[in-house]
Amino acid sequence: MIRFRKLRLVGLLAGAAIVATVADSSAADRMRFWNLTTVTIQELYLAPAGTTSWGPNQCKNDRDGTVDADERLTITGVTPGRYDVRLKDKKGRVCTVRNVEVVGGKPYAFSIADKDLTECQP
Amino acid sequence: MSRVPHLGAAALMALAWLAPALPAAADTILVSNEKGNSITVLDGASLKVIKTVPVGQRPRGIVLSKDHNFLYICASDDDDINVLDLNTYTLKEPLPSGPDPETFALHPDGLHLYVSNEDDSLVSIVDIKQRQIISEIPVGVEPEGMGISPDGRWIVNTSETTSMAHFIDNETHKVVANVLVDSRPRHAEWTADGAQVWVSSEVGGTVAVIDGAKRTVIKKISFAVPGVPNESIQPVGIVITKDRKYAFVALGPANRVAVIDAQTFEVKRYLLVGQRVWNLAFNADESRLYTTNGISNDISVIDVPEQEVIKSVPVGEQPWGVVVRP
Repeated sequence: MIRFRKLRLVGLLAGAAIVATVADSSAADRMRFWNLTTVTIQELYLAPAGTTSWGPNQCKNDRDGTVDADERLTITGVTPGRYDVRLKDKKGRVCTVRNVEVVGGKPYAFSIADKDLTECQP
Repeated sequence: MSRVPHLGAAALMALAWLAPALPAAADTILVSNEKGNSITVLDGASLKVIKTVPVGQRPRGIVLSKDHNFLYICASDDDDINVLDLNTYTLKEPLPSGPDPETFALHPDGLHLYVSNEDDSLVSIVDIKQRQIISEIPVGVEPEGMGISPDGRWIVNTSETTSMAHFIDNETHKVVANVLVDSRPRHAEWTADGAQVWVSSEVGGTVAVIDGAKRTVIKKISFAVPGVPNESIQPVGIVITKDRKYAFVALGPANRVAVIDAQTFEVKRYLLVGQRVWNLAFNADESRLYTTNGISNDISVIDVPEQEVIKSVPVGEQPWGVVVRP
């Protein structure tokens, strides 16, 4: 009887672990950028911090190809870590934001606000 | 000794002088903070924060229940509608919303919520008593603004990417007309007489005034703020006085509220408020107007008869929605 209870407990714990893993996995899959600037972003690229290995334009993941102010954008092909982010906004400015922490398992992976746009051209 | 009564009289005189600028208001202001994940509660008379209530993730659209005892909150990142008891400030069992609820409107019967589900291009109708979604209506891409005619018969939903105002028959739950407006329509506001719907277009920088019966645009209002680039003029929130004399439009990162003669559609003036002004709410007698300012993390208080900003009050992080509980 005691052995059966132990087995059932082990089974329950194993089940809970599987559920937790699945939940973590689905949460970690949800990587989104939150545009907290006041401008529409037309292009957005990520590169591992300190490199120039820019990935694809993430704005192509959006249905209209741009990320308006306060809008979210799904980020693909990126794992949590530190990245440099390059963006082009509707005004034509190209800005680089360095060493941004991109996290998984949260409602949004990272955000950028106007105050972060200190390295822009023109 | 003799100075005390003298100071008292001076203070009374000062208070009497200040009274018209800050009239007493026995109401409560409620603000959703989309990054702070909270509701800020302010006393309408003192304009002081009396409570900050943690709620679900990314609270945006908020609306009062018909009896004013509950606040419904679109918790966008939780994919549900939080229900906040305004007498105890505790959260009750949430209502279903469909995915990514951003804004919603309460039917005049007080029994149904109409929710825009941005990711699924749907309007969901939530039966509050049954606590379930009873209908889903397909609309354009990225639905956003929701407005219900005063008689409850017509629903207007705006879709950001399709740039349309969709008119929905609330008896059949079918879209009966699509009205093209400028880019990224964000908000739909019916006039109290049900004659017009005003729709703001954030990227287009305009407000379309739509005839509620004919469903045609009768006027497109543009804005020009001296010293502010056109791309910063991004209309979002709209409120219209019940007598349809004035409309007020929040212009986003232009940091201005436009005051419009709602009869002639002429912009009368621009009021300087906080940064990225997003949404607006009147108090019950429309003597005051409150704005949420998403970047400066505050609200601005506007004296409506005087058409001037009289105060700003810090609230939570990224204030988004505002309502006033009488």
